[in-house]
Amino acid sequence: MDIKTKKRHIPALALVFAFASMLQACAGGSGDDKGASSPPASSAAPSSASASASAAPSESAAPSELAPYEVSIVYFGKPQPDDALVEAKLNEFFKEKINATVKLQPIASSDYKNRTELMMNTGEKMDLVFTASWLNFFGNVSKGAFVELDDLLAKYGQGIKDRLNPLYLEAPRMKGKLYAIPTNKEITQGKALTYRKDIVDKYQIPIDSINTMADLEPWMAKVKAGEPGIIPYYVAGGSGNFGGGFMMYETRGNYRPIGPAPAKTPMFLLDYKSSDEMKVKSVLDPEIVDINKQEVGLFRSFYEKGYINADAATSTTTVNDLQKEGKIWVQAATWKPGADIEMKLATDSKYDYVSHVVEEPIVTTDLAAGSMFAISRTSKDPDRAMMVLNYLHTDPYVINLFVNGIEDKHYKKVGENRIEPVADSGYNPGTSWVVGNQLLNYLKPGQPDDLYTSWEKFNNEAKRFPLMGFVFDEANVKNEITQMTAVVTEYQSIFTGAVKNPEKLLDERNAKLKSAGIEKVQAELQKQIDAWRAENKK
Amino acid sequence: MQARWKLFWKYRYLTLMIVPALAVLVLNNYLPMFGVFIAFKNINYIDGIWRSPWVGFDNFEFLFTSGSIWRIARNTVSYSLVFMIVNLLLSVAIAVAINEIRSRWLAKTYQTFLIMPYFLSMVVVSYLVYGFLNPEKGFLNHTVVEWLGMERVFWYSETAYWPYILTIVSAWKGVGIGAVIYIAAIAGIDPEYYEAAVIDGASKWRQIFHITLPTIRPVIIIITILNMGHVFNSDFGLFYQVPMNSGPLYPVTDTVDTYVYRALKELNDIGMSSAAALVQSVLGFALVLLTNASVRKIDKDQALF
Repeated sequence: MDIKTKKRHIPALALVFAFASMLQACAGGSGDDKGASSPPASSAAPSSASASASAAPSESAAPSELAPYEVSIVYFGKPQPDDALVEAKLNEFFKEKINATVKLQPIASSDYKNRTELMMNTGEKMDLVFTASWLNFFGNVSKGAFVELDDLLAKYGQGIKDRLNPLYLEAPRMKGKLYAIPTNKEITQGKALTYRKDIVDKYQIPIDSINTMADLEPWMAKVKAGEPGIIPYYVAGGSGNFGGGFMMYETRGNYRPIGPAPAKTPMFLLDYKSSDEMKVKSVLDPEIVDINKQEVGLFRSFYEKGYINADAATSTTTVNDLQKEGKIWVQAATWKPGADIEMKLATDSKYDYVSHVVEEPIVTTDLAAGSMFAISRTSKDPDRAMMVLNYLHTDPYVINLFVNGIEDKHYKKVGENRIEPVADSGYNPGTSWVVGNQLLNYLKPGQPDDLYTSWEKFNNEAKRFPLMGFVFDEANVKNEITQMTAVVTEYQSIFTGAVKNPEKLLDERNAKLKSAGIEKVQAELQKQIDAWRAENKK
Repeated sequence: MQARWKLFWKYRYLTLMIVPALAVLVLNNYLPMFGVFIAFKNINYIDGIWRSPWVGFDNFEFLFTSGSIWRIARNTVSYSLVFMIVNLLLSVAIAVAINEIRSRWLAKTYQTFLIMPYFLSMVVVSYLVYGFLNPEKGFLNHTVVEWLGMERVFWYSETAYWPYILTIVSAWKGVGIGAVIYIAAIAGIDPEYYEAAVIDGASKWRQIFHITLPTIRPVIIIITILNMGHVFNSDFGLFYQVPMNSGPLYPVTDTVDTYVYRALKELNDIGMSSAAALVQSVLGFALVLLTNASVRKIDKDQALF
C-alpha cells in the first residue's frame, strides 16, 4: 500500500516541477520584456511647443536643439506641502534655459538609504540622486549604480568646476574616476564640545581648558548639584547614530578612523601626524585597547555617579529635542564656522551656545564626500542632469528657489542676500546642505554677513588628511565585515556606561572581532593603502 | 482514467471554486520562489539579477563561519518551540474555557479582548513593554521591585529575565488569535456526545478530557505540523523591537532574523540576505517533513500527507 501511494506521488511531483519550470520561463520572459520596453516609455513624444523663443545664452546647447526631458531629482528632505508649487516655478526656469522639467522626489531621512537602494536594485529611472559617504556611496559605486562624471563635468559643468574647491573633486572617486559632485559648503568639520552659554557664564566654566571627557567631570558634578532639571551628560545609545566613544581617539592621540567602520564604530585607526609608513592600527592593537579601556571605564564611572542618563543604553531621543526642553548643557558636536548660531536656530532659538574645538578639522575622503549628487545609471539623459546640477551650483535664483521656496510666499527678502522665512509657509525642507551651492543661499536671521567668506577661508585653510582620496574596496572581505558588524552592534552599549564591567566586555568583543576576521580586513586595508600611495606617490 | 474524468466533470464547479485560492497561492508563494537563484549570485546594478555573476555558495559563508551561528540557531529554535508549546496550551485552555461560558455575550466580549493585542504593531508593543521596564520611570521598578525591597533592575542589560519576558509577550499577543481556531473546532462537536455524557453522570472535567480534547486533536496536530515549518524563523519585531535592540541582551535575544538584519543592513547585499532566507526555508521544510513522518509513524490517519 505504501509503495503504491509513493508511486502515485511521482507523477504529481513531476507535474509540480513541470509547472515550476513553465512559470520560470514566464518570469524570465517578462523580465526581458521590461528591459526592452521601458526606454520608450520615458522618452516622451516630441512636443511642438518645444522651446520658448528667448535664446538665453547658456553654457550648454541652445534650448531649441534639445528634446524635452524630465530630470528627476531624488534628495534627502522631508516632503513639503508646497513641493508642487516650487516644482512648477523650477520648471518655468529650466524649460526656458534647457527645455527640461524637473521632478522633485524628496525622501524623508529615516527612509532615505533603504528606499534609494531599493530603487537602485529595481532599476527605477532616476537622474540626479543625493548620496554621501555615510549613505554607502562607495558601495553603490562598486555595484554600478552611478555613471562616470569626468567628461560630463568638463562639458556641461564648467560652472561647478569654477566654484568648487578642487579638493572636493578628489574625494568621490573610485579607481580614479569621478562618480559624484559634492555640494558646495564647508568641506570638513571639526569636533567640539558645545555648551549652553548661560550655564557657562553662571558657573564660570573655563571651556578653553576642557579638552577631554575627563576634564568635564568636575563641571558635571557642579551642574548636577546646581541644575536639577539638566542631564549632566546625555547619551543616546539606542539611536542608529550612536557609534560609541565620540572623539576618544582624537582627544587621546592623533588617531583618525580609516577604512570600514561597521555600525559607525571605527575599527581601524591611523596616526595622521606620525611620519612612518601609514601603518594602520586595529582596535586590537594594545595602544588602542588601552585608550578604549580608559574611555569605557570613565563612562561607566560617570554612569554610576548619575551623570549619564539612566536609559543611556536604549534611549533614542535626539539631543535636539532635549535641547529645546533645556535639558542639555554640554554635548559633543561637529563644528564649523557659524555652528553655534546654527545650533541656536535648530533648537527654536531658546539658548545661546559656545563651543570649544577639541579636534582639529582635517579633510578626509568621507567628510569631503559627505553630501553629493550622483547621476544614476538609469538616467536616460545624463547630459541634461548635469546641466540642471550646474544651474543649482551657479544660479542664485534657482538654488534659493529650491531651498527657500518662492519669494513673498515662503520668505520675505529683507536685504540683498538676506531673507526672513515666513512661519508655517508650507515650504521649509531644510535642504541647504543637500543641494547645489550652499554659499549662494540667502542668509537667515542670526547668520552673520560674512558666513560664506568665513567658510571659504575655512575650506582653503583646512588641512588634508594624508590619505585624502583613498577609498577602501571591501569586495574581498565582505564576509568578514558582515560578521564584524554583527559583533560591533552587540557590544556597542559598552560605550554608553550603562553596562557593568565594560572592560571585561571589551576584551570579549575584541576576541570575537578577532575570530570574525578583523586581521584579514586589516591586512587588506593596509595592502590597498600601500598600493594607493605607490600609485599617487604619497 | 475514464472514471476519473467523469468524476472531475461531475464536480467541475466545485473544482472551479478553488481556482482563486490557487491563483493567490501561486502568485504569492510559488512565483517568488524563483528568486532563490539570487542566493547564488553576486548582484550588481548594471547586470541586474539575470546577468550578475554566479558565486556558488559564497553568499552562505558569512552565516556558517560566524562564531554566532550556534547561538542564533539555538535561540531561534528553542524560542520557537517554547512559544509553540506555551501558546498551544494556553490557546486550547482559553478555547475550552470560553466554550464553557453560558452567556454568549460575555464569551464574545472575552474573546474580543483576548484577540485585541494581536492587532497591535510590535513597535507599539515594544513601547508598552518599555513602560513597564524603563529603569528610571518604569512601572515594575516603581512597584513590584520596590515592594520587594530590591534594588532597581536594569532590565535592558540583564539577560536572565528576557526568556520569560519574551515568552509572556508572545503569549499575550498570540494566544487570543490562536484560540479562535480551537473555538471553531469545539463549536463543531456534536452536542449529543455531551448530552450522553451528562446522562452517564460525567463531570465537566471528564467531559473536557474525554470529549472535547480528543475531538479537536486532529486540528491541534495539523496546526502543530504547520507551525513546525516556522521553527527556524522568528518574529523579527518581537526579538528586535521589544528588547529595544539592546546589545547586552543578544545572548538571549539574537535570532537568525535579527542577526541577518544587523549584519547586512549596512552592506545592502541582497545575495547574502537571500542565502540566509533560503537556509531558513530549507530547514523549515525539512522539519515539516520530519514532523509529518513521525506523526505518521504513530497514527497514520492524523498525518497531513
